[in-house]
Amino acid sequence: MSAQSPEEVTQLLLAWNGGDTAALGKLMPLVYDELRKAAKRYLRREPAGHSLQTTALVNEVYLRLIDAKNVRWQDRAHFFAISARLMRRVLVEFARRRRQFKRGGEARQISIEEALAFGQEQSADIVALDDALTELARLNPRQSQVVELRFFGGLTEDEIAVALKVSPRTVRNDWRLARAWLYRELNKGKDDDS
Amino acid sequence: MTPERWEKIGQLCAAALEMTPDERAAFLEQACVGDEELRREIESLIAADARAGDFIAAPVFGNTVGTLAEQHTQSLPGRRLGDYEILAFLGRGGTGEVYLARDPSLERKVALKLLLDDFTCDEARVRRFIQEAKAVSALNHPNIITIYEIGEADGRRYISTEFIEGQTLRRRLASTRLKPPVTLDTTIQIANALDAAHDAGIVHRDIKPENIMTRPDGLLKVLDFGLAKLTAPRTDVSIFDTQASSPSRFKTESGMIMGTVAYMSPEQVRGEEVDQRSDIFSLGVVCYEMIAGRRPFTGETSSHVIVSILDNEPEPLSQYAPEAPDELQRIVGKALRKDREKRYQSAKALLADLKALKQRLQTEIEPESDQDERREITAPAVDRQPARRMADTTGAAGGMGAATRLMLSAERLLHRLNLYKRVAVIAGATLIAVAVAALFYFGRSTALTEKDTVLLSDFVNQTGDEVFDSTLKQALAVQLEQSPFLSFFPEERVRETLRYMGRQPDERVTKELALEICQRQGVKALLAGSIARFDRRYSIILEAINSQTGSNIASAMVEADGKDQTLRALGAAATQLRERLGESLSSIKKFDAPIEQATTSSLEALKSWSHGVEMARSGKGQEAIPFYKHAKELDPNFAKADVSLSVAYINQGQFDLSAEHAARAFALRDRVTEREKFDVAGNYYAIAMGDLLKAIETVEMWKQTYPRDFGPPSRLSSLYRLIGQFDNALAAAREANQINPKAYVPYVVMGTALTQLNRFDEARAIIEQGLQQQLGAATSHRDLYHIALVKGDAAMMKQQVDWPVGKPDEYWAYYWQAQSASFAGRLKQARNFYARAAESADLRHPERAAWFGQEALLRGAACGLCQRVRGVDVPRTLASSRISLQSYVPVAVSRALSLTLCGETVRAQSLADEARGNNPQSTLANSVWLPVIRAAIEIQRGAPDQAIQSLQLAGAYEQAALFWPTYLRGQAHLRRKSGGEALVEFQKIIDHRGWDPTSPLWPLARLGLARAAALTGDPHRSRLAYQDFLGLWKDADPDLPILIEAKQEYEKLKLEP
Repeated sequence: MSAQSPEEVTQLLLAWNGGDTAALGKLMPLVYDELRKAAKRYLRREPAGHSLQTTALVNEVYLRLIDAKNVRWQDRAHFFAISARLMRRVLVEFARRRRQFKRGGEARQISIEEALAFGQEQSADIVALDDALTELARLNPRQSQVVELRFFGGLTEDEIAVALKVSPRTVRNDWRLARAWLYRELNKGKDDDS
Repeated sequence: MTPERWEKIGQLCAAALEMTPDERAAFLEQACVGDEELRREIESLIAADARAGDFIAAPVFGNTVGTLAEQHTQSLPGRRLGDYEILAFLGRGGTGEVYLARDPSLERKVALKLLLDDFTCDEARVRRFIQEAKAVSALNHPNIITIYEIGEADGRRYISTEFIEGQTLRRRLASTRLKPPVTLDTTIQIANALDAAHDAGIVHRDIKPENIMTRPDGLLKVLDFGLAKLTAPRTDVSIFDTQASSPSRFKTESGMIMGTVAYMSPEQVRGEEVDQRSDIFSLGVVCYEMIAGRRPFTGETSSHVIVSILDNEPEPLSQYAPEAPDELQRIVGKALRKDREKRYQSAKALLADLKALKQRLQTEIEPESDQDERREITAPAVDRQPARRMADTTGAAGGMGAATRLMLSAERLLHRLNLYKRVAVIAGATLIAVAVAALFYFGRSTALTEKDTVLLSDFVNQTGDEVFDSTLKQALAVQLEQSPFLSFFPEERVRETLRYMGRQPDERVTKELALEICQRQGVKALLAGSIARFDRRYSIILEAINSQTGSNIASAMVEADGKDQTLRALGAAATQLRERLGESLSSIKKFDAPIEQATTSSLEALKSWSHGVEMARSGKGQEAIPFYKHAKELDPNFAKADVSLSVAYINQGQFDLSAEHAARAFALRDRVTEREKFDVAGNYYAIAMGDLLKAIETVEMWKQTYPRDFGPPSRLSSLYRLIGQFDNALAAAREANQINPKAYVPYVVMGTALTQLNRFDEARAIIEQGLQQQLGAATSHRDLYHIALVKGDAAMMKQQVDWPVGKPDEYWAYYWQAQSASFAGRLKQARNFYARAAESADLRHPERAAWFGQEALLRGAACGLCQRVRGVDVPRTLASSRISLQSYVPVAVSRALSLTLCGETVRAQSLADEARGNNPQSTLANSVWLPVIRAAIEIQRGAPDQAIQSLQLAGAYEQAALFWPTYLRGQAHLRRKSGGEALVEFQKIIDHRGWDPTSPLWPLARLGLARAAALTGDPHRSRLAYQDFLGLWKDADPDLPILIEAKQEYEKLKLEP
């Protein structure tokens, strides 16, 4: 893995957000790497397995990858929005791979991927969620973003409001609607429709 | 579905969700007229909303660590990985975890190392590594570990190697130095391994004691060839700019020091290309360490070590190992040449010299056969369990043979004195060491009865015949050593103790000296012997003495007719003594050695200090002070006593005295052992200079060098807490607690850190656990008080407040109540309590009294009470402007902040400038409080943007400043009219009560939130926040300016539509 300096990573992130998809390819292994290390660090510190603060993890990963001081504070919220997007891509990618992975033998490897993400069943859910989110983005990009920031990025409503430059109330409404729609989409055929 | 349609659905849905079901039906009826599809769509969404439950409610990472932790404890043993059956977990290294596994196809045990994923994603690297590892293994060298297989299973890369039942060189070195013959043999084996690998063009790059395994039969195996390539970090480790005038630091990961650099060669450290000569250097370092018992290149921080490697010549071996042959010194010196052109150019060359030396030593020890055949005296039968094998002593193949030969030739030693300075010492001491070593090696697998330790002092030789000078002691050791009840206090530790006593390590151990050593080390008894001559008769007396009382336990006396009979006579005496001694010793009660060793020439001083330490560890810090002082009186150069005083005073809040003692200890740092130096230096950096980062680095180094010491994790826990890194503090405190469950500091730090992390129940549990064992301090009760406040548990609050009453630090009761009163806005009541606290503290703790006074003013200022702030002029003592190490706002900062909040920015600025000048190295000053003060001033002066920038600087250690940075940031955003950002900040405060549970800033944050919400055009939320605030402050003093403002704003808001 070639060493990326913080400046380069920042550039990659911004480029990717600006639409350069090749940048994503370069970023993903780095993020993966850092995600794993960050989770392990938490583990080492808290062996009792206290629940992890998502934003803390995301923060940590990003502060390691980029030179945080150079990101102007006004852009920070924006920045975490980018990171949430990336987190989503990373996880979904992993989930897709995981779905194809056949669990052979009895040994359950203790891999960070497994813990970070989920078992086979959940992989399917994440992929489905991602598909649904993509569809939602077609209908209303902002709602999709709200879900992304909240679920993948772990941001609070207020932070999302700042990132998207809307009021917290709008965020709340978007969330509620989007979630209902997603829930419905993902459970089509499962519930009895009244 | 089109976006437009969705938009419509969305609007209607949002409206519908706000209504009651009845209203809804009617509404939808009307809105969806003519469009059944629309109505169905909306209804199904409403239904979904109702059923969604906690669907994606929590962010995706939320509970994963818990899952992982569970899986971790289930762990691998008992499972399979690929074809291997995993049997047990062996350990964890830098590159991965190692397990004992079984290879069923070949029915053999293997060591299975699972490489960390971090290292296996770079395919190219992995391939190179496999190539190299295979090449090395193909050499099939006895001193290189055999690699069976490298593969991948279940997504994990693994290496399976032969399983070595033995221990690493690191473990062996952890307790003793090694004798020259052993060292020589070890070095030769390693050099052999290197020679073979170098011939194949492979350089190891990471030779260090952790990578060298010793089998019980003495055979050595070098591990981890090629792995160094795999683990070279992405970012360049050796950031050493040859152009720069001073070396730059190693990049640190989350504040921790990099792995050990102590074995790296100069060229490695410089990041240059390395060749086989680098391995030779590393081997030289290992060799040095084996002989001397310490590393040749040391330092307080990694940087110091690097400088040492590049610039310092290591101290001569003779300083630490006087018995080491000069030739060995020369060899090691040549291996450690900084310029690799001047080093041994190959392992072969090194081997040649090593072997030559070994040859020489052997002929000197080994008896010459012809001379002694006639005089053979059989030594007593060796009564040994056949399973016990001994460490190789002469470098020949290990096994019973060598040792037996040596023992039989104990008599021959009598004829071999002048050849070699201390050969008798070596041979005899080695035998003594054997007993201990056997214990050590087989400690886990063989059950040995607990032996009593006895110290052997030097024989008093009154015959005038120097033949007897040291050999009798050795011969005696051999005899007594057979007892299953006895073992001897190791020579190395005798020497070490002598050093602690400020004496020469090779000083003759007289009876008096031996007694003191016993006292210092908790050894029950000492053996003394003497030999005298009357004409042709020799008289040998052996005595065993109770080291505590000085009285005789047992003695034996024999006579010999002629010199050649002395050994036999000694044997008889020893047998007599052994029998009597065995029973008596067990009837003597074990006594406790001083809790820790420290450098001081006076035994009484050591005892006094040690007693103090014991008291301090259990929480009676103040009572310990007289003991420390007494120790200093007895020995003014007792550095550790100064350190202890420094710590004791700072816990009393007496910063000046504390710094004074820290500096005194630091001035004495050249007299103490390396271990103590870490403590002295770390303490100085932290207390006298306030440079917490440097202190942390030093203590981390201490921890690495002496991983079993209690001091480092304990001190680290406090240091991390001071800079606001609560997670690190917690981890360190846990470690410390494990090492010494009877110390109070870990309990206290865990309690506070957990509180600050908002984990109140856990905090309470830990604190109470500690208090149950009498392990706690005022801080424990303070934290319980805080927790009780958070939970609204009045009874528990009262309990804590009752605790200090009647005690010397009674003022805490008033102080804590002052804090909770100010939390609720009852500033008048708070003022009274603060005053009482200050009064109560004034006599004995004036610094604390001043601090209470300032805090009263600061909290008042935060609520708009400025009269007293402006009026009071700073008394001289306050203006000392030391930014001291304490958990709350230091006095000088408090003063500056109060002034700022009350508009007196000029005075505040000058105080801040003074503080900056007087605290040049202080982390808390420069990275925490001064930026906070600056930001407050900037806000006050109408420059909120600048304030935000200033607060950036406090970034990494923000939590050390409680709520202040966040609160000020929120205020700045309010000034800038950025409601959204302000919301985030104030909400953060609300979410982190634990950072400062009694701070009025916490309720005030709700007021901030209310104002911010108003700015963002969310009157509903704003109203709620005002209500919350006013609710929290329902009993507050009605005349508080800020309360009045808030009420007015709220009223206005209520009127708005």
